[in-house]
Amino acid sequence: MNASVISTQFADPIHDAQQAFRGLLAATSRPGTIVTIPLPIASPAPLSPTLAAIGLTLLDDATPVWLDPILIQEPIRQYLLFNTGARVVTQPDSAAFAFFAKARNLPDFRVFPRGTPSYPDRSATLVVQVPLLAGGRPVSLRGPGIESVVSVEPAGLPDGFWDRWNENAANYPIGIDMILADACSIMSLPRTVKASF
Amino acid sequence: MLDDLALNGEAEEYSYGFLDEQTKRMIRRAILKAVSIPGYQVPFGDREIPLPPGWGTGGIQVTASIIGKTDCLKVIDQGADDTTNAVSIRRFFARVARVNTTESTGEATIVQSRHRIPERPLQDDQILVMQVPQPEPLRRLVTSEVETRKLHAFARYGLMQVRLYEDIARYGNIVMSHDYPVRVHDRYLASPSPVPKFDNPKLHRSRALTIFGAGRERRIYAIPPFTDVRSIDFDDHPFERQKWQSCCARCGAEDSYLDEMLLDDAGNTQFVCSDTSYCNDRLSEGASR
Ligand SMILES: [Zn+2]
Repeated sequence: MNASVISTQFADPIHDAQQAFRGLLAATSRPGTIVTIPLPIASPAPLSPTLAAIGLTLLDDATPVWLDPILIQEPIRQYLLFNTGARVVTQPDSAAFAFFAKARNLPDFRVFPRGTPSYPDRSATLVVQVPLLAGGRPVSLRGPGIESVVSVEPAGLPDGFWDRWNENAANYPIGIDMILADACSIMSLPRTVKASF
Repeated sequence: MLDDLALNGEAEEYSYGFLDEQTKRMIRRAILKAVSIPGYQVPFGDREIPLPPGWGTGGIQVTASIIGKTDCLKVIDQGADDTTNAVSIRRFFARVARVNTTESTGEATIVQSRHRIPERPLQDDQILVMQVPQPEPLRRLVTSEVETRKLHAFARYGLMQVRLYEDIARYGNIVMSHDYPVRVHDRYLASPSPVPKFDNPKLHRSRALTIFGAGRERRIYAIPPFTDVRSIDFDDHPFERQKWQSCCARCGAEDSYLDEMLLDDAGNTQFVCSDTSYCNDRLSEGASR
């Protein structure tokens, strides 16, 4: 990777980050909704532009980030450090964010901070690349932000994912939050969401 | 007050939305956690925020962190768009975020408010930002932050029930008329901010996201759309909104929160909508009919 990719930000850093944040806010407010966000012109493979966009929007020197075995590469570490100031950590329990190139790399969610009864906000957000936010096995979601029920079908999730998700939701208000991302869009799964399938 | 916001010379350099990107990012992360844990007060960092304390800094911080060029902002104070504070906050964002502003609830993408929730139900594409002086609903009962945090951690809200029931025992009803506490998503006890309890039911399963910002206390909390919001009450004393004998003297509304206005020196009064945009809309709709 050359220096130009390392330094690739949003085309319009302030306004694209604002739009990307509003996309994240809309997605988190309405779980199950697929939301398109602005992407940087390039990102260091295998970090997808969508994951890079989320990183550029939310990460800084206050947010240690954990990378899965596919993403933990020097150019990606440099990219995140250069563009956001975020440090890559090897211990999942000290991460504020965790990035995954493949959902099948998701470990037991409990290795990440899930907050405490007094501070449930001190919990990790897992950002997970999937091949497509549609076309997978349909699942019904319920919870705050959903009028009654919403059907979603993100592809590429490992077997047993939704059982594990419901275990996470059962510990509310403690838990991790998740953002699924495909090539240009995101779908948010805050810990309040419960799945039936 | 907002004239003191260091926006003196026309040519002066300032960040888009006034706050620097680092501060916005910190607030944005707090907002996302707040939406993920409805009603829980997320503390946001120790970074110094370059806004003077006083009116509306919590609301301004939230608005400044979410607003973008395509937004249309409405600001209300006590239901009115034309108070000094509402006007100066609107001007402030028109300048630092280059957004359009409006007095019409229906046109706004962001409504920043103090003391009222608009009468016209908010829609999916709108965000309500509430300014909060005291985010902790238990503070009037428990002064210690350590203690209130413990009570929230284990959802031990009996104290609040007792406090409200004492009203019933003493006065025959619950006297608290503003900042009437709610349970959000059957979990956190939260302050709806100092809105009249008349507005509490508007938060229940609202189509719009509501974000509450407390500047001095550095807390952000949120109520996502379609979230259960219950005002604390009792089987034998169900929650009731304020009611009036009369309708609005201007527009005839029977479903809005009314303010009593002095008419003359003889002390005659009339009741009119506190939400001026709602009242004006009804008048112009009536006129065009
Ligand atoms: Zn009226």
